[in-house]
Amino acid sequence: MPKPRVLSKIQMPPRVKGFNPMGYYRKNAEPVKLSIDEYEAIRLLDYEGLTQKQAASIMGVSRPSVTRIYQKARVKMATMITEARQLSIEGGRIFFDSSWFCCENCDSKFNAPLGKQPECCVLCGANTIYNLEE
Amino acid sequence: MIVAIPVSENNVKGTVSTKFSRSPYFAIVNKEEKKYEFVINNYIDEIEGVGKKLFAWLMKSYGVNTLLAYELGIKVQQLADEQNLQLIIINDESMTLEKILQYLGV
Repeated sequence: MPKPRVLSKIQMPPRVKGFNPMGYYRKNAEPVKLSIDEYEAIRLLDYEGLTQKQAASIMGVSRPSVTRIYQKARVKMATMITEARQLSIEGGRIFFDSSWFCCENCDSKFNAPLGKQPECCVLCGANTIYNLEE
Repeated sequence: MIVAIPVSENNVKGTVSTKFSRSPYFAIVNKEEKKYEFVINNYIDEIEGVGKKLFAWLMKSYGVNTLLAYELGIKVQQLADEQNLQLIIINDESMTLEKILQYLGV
Protein backbone atom coordinates (compact mmCIF):
# COMPACT_ATOMS: atom_id res chain seq x y z
CA MET A 1 0.00 0.00 0.00
CA PRO A 2 1.55 3.36 -1.01
CA LYS A 3 2.39 5.85 1.71
CA PRO A 4 -0.21 8.68 1.79
CA ARG A 5 1.20 11.95 0.49
CA VAL A 6 1.60 14.74 3.04
CA LEU A 7 -0.61 17.80 2.76
CA SER A 8 0.65 20.60 0.51
CA LYS A 9 0.96 24.05 2.03
CA ILE A 10 -0.81 26.75 0.02
CA GLN A 11 0.29 30.34 0.51
CA MET A 12 -2.70 32.05 -1.01
CA PRO A 13 -6.06 30.76 -2.24
CA PRO A 14 -6.85 30.87 -5.97
CA ARG A 15 -8.57 34.05 -7.12
CA VAL A 16 -11.48 32.20 -8.75
CA LYS A 17 -13.24 28.85 -8.42
CA GLY A 18 -12.81 28.01 -12.10
CA PHE A 19 -12.94 29.07 -15.74
CA ASN A 20 -15.43 28.78 -18.60
CA PRO A 21 -14.43 28.48 -22.27
CA MET A 22 -15.51 31.34 -24.52
CA GLY A 23 -17.98 30.83 -27.36
CA TYR A 24 -18.01 27.05 -27.58
CA TYR A 25 -18.01 24.38 -24.98
CA ARG A 26 -18.81 20.70 -24.93
CA LYS A 27 -22.32 20.21 -23.68
CA ASN A 28 -22.72 17.71 -20.86
CA ALA A 29 -18.95 17.46 -20.46
CA GLU A 30 -17.70 17.18 -16.90
CA PRO A 31 -15.50 20.11 -15.89
CA VAL A 32 -11.80 19.33 -15.55
CA LYS A 33 -11.09 19.39 -11.82
CA LEU A 34 -7.79 21.03 -10.95
CA SER A 35 -7.01 20.57 -7.28
CA ILE A 36 -5.67 23.51 -5.28
CA ASP A 37 -2.26 21.87 -4.83
CA GLU A 38 -2.06 21.42 -8.63
CA TYR A 39 -3.00 25.08 -9.06
CA GLU A 40 -0.28 26.03 -6.56
CA ALA A 41 2.31 23.95 -8.45
CA ILE A 42 1.44 25.73 -11.72
CA ARG A 43 1.56 29.10 -9.96
CA LEU A 44 4.93 28.53 -8.31
CA LEU A 45 6.68 26.83 -11.23
CA ASP A 46 5.22 28.55 -14.30
CA TYR A 47 4.02 31.91 -12.96
CA GLU A 48 6.67 32.62 -10.32
CA GLY A 49 9.40 30.76 -12.24
CA LEU A 50 10.70 28.83 -9.24
CA THR A 51 12.59 25.56 -9.50
CA GLN A 52 10.88 22.35 -8.44
CA LYS A 53 13.16 22.24 -5.40
CA GLN A 54 12.12 25.76 -4.34
CA ALA A 55 8.44 24.97 -4.95
CA ALA A 56 8.75 21.77 -2.91
CA SER A 57 10.21 23.73 -0.02
CA ILE A 58 7.37 26.28 -0.09
CA MET A 59 4.67 23.61 -0.40
CA GLY A 60 6.25 21.47 2.30
CA VAL A 61 6.38 18.32 0.15
CA SER A 62 9.20 16.39 -1.48
CA ARG A 63 10.63 17.38 -4.85
CA PRO A 64 9.33 14.18 -6.52
CA SER A 65 5.85 14.98 -5.14
CA VAL A 66 5.98 18.41 -6.76
CA THR A 67 6.98 16.77 -10.05
CA ARG A 68 3.96 14.44 -9.85
CA ILE A 69 1.53 17.21 -8.84
CA TYR A 70 2.85 19.47 -11.62
CA GLN A 71 2.64 16.71 -14.24
CA LYS A 72 -1.00 16.01 -13.34
CA ALA A 73 -1.76 19.73 -13.47
CA ARG A 74 -0.19 20.10 -16.92
CA VAL A 75 -2.26 17.21 -18.31
CA LYS A 76 -5.44 18.73 -16.88
CA MET A 77 -4.66 22.18 -18.27
CA ALA A 78 -3.95 20.63 -21.69
CA THR A 79 -7.24 18.70 -21.53
CA MET A 80 -9.14 21.83 -20.64
CA ILE A 81 -7.67 23.85 -23.52
CA THR A 82 -7.80 21.12 -26.15
CA GLU A 83 -11.26 19.81 -25.35
CA ALA A 84 -12.73 23.25 -24.56
CA ARG A 85 -13.87 22.07 -21.13
CA GLN A 86 -14.74 24.05 -18.06
CA LEU A 87 -12.13 24.11 -15.32
CA SER A 88 -12.97 23.99 -11.66
CA ILE A 89 -10.35 24.62 -9.00
CA GLU A 90 -11.21 22.80 -5.81
CA GLY A 91 -10.13 20.25 -3.25
CA GLY A 92 -6.79 18.52 -2.97
CA ARG A 93 -4.63 17.46 -0.04
CA ILE A 94 -3.87 20.94 1.21
CA PHE A 95 -3.72 23.33 4.12
CA PHE A 96 -3.35 27.08 3.98
CA ASP A 97 -0.39 28.90 5.46
CA SER A 98 -2.84 30.88 7.57
CA SER A 99 -6.64 30.90 7.59
CA TRP A 100 -8.12 32.76 4.65
CA PHE A 101 -11.50 34.44 4.45
CA CYS A 102 -13.54 35.92 1.64
CA CYS A 103 -15.93 38.86 1.87
CA GLU A 104 -19.14 38.64 -0.14
CA ASN A 105 -19.58 42.41 0.01
CA CYS A 106 -16.26 43.71 -1.38
CA ASP A 107 -15.06 40.39 -2.88
CA SER A 108 -11.67 40.66 -1.17
CA LYS A 109 -9.76 37.80 0.42
CA PHE A 110 -7.84 38.27 3.64
CA ASN A 111 -5.85 36.13 6.01
CA ALA A 112 -6.08 35.77 9.77
CA PRO A 113 -2.51 36.22 11.05
CA LEU A 114 -1.73 34.58 14.43
CA GLY A 115 -4.93 32.52 14.08
CA LYS A 116 -7.20 35.38 15.20
CA GLN A 117 -10.64 34.67 13.80
CA PRO A 118 -12.11 37.85 12.26
CA GLU A 119 -15.71 38.79 12.96
CA CYS A 120 -15.99 41.04 9.94
CA CYS A 121 -14.14 41.94 6.74
CA VAL A 122 -10.86 43.77 7.50
CA LEU A 123 -11.36 45.95 4.41
CA CYS A 124 -15.02 46.96 4.30
CA GLY A 125 -16.19 45.89 7.76
CA ALA A 126 -19.11 43.80 6.46
CA ASN A 127 -19.96 40.65 8.37
CA THR A 128 -20.67 38.68 5.18
CA ILE A 129 -17.45 36.68 5.38
CA TYR A 130 -16.73 32.98 5.09
CA ASN A 131 -13.71 30.79 5.69
CA LEU A 132 -12.24 29.52 2.41
CA GLU A 133 -11.23 26.22 3.99
CA GLU A 134 -14.82 25.30 4.82
CA MET B 1 -3.92 49.43 11.20
CA ILE B 2 -1.33 50.89 8.82
CA VAL B 3 -1.88 49.68 5.28
CA ALA B 4 0.51 49.83 2.32
CA ILE B 5 -1.32 49.93 -1.01
CA PRO B 6 0.51 49.89 -4.37
CA VAL B 7 -1.07 52.53 -6.58
CA SER B 8 -0.56 53.58 -10.19
CA GLU B 9 -0.83 57.34 -9.50
CA ASN B 10 -0.24 59.61 -6.54
CA ASN B 11 -3.86 60.67 -6.26
CA VAL B 12 -7.05 58.99 -5.07
CA LYS B 13 -8.25 58.36 -8.62
CA GLY B 14 -5.31 56.02 -9.21
CA THR B 15 -6.00 52.30 -9.35
CA VAL B 16 -4.23 49.53 -7.46
CA SER B 17 -1.05 48.44 -9.27
CA THR B 18 -1.19 44.84 -10.41
CA LYS B 19 2.49 44.25 -9.50
CA PHE B 20 3.20 45.06 -5.87
CA SER B 21 6.98 45.51 -5.94
CA ARG B 22 7.04 47.37 -9.28
CA SER B 23 4.35 49.85 -8.32
CA PRO B 24 5.42 53.48 -8.89
CA TYR B 25 3.74 54.74 -5.71
CA PHE B 26 2.41 53.44 -2.44
CA ALA B 27 -0.41 54.89 -0.43
CA ILE B 28 0.27 54.51 3.28
CA VAL B 29 -3.06 54.59 5.06
CA ASN B 30 -3.47 54.92 8.83
CA LYS B 31 -6.99 53.67 9.48
CA GLU B 32 -7.21 54.76 13.13
CA GLU B 33 -5.95 58.31 12.47
CA LYS B 34 -7.90 58.49 9.18
CA LYS B 35 -4.83 59.78 7.33
CA TYR B 36 -3.00 58.77 4.20
CA GLU B 37 0.08 59.82 2.26
CA PHE B 38 1.72 58.87 -1.01
CA VAL B 39 5.31 57.69 -1.18
CA ILE B 40 7.46 57.01 -4.24
CA ASN B 41 8.80 53.50 -4.72
CA ASN B 42 12.54 54.14 -5.10
CA TYR B 43 13.24 50.46 -5.74
CA ILE B 44 11.11 50.21 -8.87
CA ASP B 45 14.06 50.08 -11.30
CA GLU B 46 16.28 47.76 -9.29
CA ILE B 47 16.99 44.46 -10.96
CA GLU B 48 17.17 42.09 -7.99
CA GLY B 49 15.79 41.82 -4.48
CA VAL B 50 13.14 44.51 -4.95
CA GLY B 51 10.51 42.78 -2.83
CA LYS B 52 12.83 42.28 0.12
CA LYS B 53 14.15 45.89 0.09
CA LEU B 54 10.71 47.36 -0.39
CA PHE B 55 9.24 45.26 2.39
CA ALA B 56 11.99 46.28 4.84
CA TRP B 57 11.53 49.97 3.91
CA LEU B 58 7.73 49.88 4.34
CA MET B 59 8.04 48.15 7.71
CA LYS B 60 10.86 50.31 9.09
CA SER B 61 9.88 53.73 7.77
CA TYR B 62 6.10 53.53 8.06
CA GLY B 63 5.36 50.73 10.52
CA VAL B 64 3.15 48.98 8.00
CA ASN B 65 1.27 46.00 9.43
CA THR B 66 -1.12 45.32 6.54
CA LEU B 67 -0.51 44.86 2.82
CA LEU B 68 -3.35 45.36 0.36
CA ALA B 69 -2.69 44.23 -3.20
CA TYR B 70 -4.12 42.69 -6.32
CA GLU B 71 -1.15 40.34 -6.62
CA LEU B 72 1.76 39.64 -4.29
CA GLY B 73 5.08 38.18 -5.38
CA ILE B 74 6.29 35.02 -3.73
CA LYS B 75 9.09 36.72 -1.76
CA VAL B 76 6.85 39.45 -0.35
CA GLN B 77 4.30 36.76 0.60
CA GLN B 78 6.95 34.78 2.46
CA LEU B 79 8.22 37.88 4.30
CA ALA B 80 4.68 38.90 5.20
CA ASP B 81 3.96 35.42 6.57
CA GLU B 82 7.16 35.47 8.66
CA GLN B 83 6.13 38.83 10.17
CA ASN B 84 2.48 37.78 10.64
CA LEU B 85 1.24 40.68 8.56
CA GLN B 86 -2.39 41.10 7.63
CA LEU B 87 -2.84 40.51 3.88
CA ILE B 88 -5.79 41.74 1.85
CA ILE B 89 -6.12 40.61 -1.77
CA ILE B 90 -8.65 42.47 -3.86
CA ASN B 91 -10.30 40.86 -6.85
CA ASP B 92 -10.85 43.98 -8.95
CA GLU B 93 -7.77 45.51 -10.58
CA SER B 94 -9.73 48.62 -11.57
CA MET B 95 -10.47 49.48 -7.94
CA THR B 96 -9.40 53.05 -7.17
CA LEU B 97 -7.71 54.23 -4.00
CA GLU B 98 -10.78 56.40 -3.42
CA LYS B 99 -12.94 53.27 -3.19
CA ILE B 100 -10.48 51.56 -0.86
CA LEU B 101 -10.35 54.60 1.43
CA GLN B 102 -14.14 54.56 1.47
CA TYR B 103 -14.11 50.88 2.49
CA LEU B 104 -11.55 51.62 5.22
CA GLY B 105 -13.57 54.58 6.46
CA VAL B 106 -10.74 57.06 5.89
